[in-house]
Amino acid sequence: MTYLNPAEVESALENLAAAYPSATELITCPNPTHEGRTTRVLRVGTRSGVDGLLLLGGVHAREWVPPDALVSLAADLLEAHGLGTGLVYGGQRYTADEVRHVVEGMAVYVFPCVNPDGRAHSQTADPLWRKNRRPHPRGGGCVGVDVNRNFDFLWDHTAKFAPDSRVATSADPCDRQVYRGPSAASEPETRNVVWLLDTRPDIRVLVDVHSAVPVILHAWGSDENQSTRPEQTFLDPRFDGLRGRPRDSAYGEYITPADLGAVSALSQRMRDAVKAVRGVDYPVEQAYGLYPTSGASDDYAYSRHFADPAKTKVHGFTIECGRTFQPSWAEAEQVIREVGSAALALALAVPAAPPG
Amino acid sequence: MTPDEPVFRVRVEAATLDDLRSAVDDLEPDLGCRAVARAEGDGFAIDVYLPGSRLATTRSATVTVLADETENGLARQAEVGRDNRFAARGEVPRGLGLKE
Repeated sequence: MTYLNPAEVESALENLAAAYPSATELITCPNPTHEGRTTRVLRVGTRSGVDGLLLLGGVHAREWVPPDALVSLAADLLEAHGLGTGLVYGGQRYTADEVRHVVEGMAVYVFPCVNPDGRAHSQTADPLWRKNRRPHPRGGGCVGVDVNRNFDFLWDHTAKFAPDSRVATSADPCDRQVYRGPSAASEPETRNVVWLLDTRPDIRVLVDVHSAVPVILHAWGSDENQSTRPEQTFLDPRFDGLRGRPRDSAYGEYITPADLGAVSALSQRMRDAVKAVRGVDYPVEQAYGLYPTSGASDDYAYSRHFADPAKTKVHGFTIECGRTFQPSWAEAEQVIREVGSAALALALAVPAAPPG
Repeated sequence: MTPDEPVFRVRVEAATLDDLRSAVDDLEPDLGCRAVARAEGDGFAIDVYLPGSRLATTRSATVTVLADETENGLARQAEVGRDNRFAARGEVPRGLGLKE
């Protein structure tokens, strides 16, 4: 076996949809990439009106394992459901009833390759390429936007964060890694994810699968969490210029105790499911790590409900799988099993999460 | 286009998070996907990426080169599908989970 190239990812989804028509829906995203590629999402689930879990992969081009992991998961669920069997990932076993519970009681939206242009470039030219491939609109020869800094969550970091917070994004179009783009959601890859969340209000949980640390991250990424000062939120401009500093009292991102408990519990379920595969520990941490982040998919997904209460509350997570961007295929297979196990455990736990 | 110079994955280790943050501030590395530090022994560590010309030492942390990620990635490009193994509609992907 080898890593999937972008064309293979899309063909894989098409063929799964054709092979399992009663349990799938093939969704075509409306925004082609700069290089003209069309991306698709495979909805796995036999029923409508059920809770949805959105799994993203391939947002960062050089992280080769997540798209393969998500295609593998979709194929596993559909084949096991069709056969009436369970699924085994190393030491982690899911019963046939659990597989049926997920496929017949949930909608799993698998979006394996959000950024196919970047993946093609990384797989054929510059292996450490991270961003998409859209040239900067004002010229200058610089190429690419970090899709995971382009979402509309505190995107304008120069206005929203403390100058000394060292927020991990950049307004420099020539920044090789974390250029945020010319405006929030400027990129077709970003808009495809936003479109999916807008048009599928059944989605209650988003997991953006990246690599590598490994770790499981939950809200928030913008500042240290706090649950005692509800006025301190990303929505309040009075705190512009104060966000992002560690261990200060001027600002912390507000999260309710109930939501913090929910995301912590769901993260722990994923951690346990990964560890059971072959003993590798993916610790659970708040996404605010050494530095704050803005414009990331997980925070954006969770923030939508607070910016517009009419929108579904979506808990956002990031899994940083494995230890390297491009492991040997033999190691990649093990990481693929870990991701599959984590996603399945999360799917089983979502209905048990406290209502938002 | 390939990168101009090799990029190395390096581990930065320090006694405290403040020391680690200070070291990373000095090095200005590619932080990978997210800047996640982890407890390691009696201190903290983070894996970051630096081109060869910017490998440096810092006063507040230990820097250890782990791998040449450019060399690794270029080698891995041989492990990417060349054509389209699913070009035929009947070629249905199978996952790595055991069905039992």
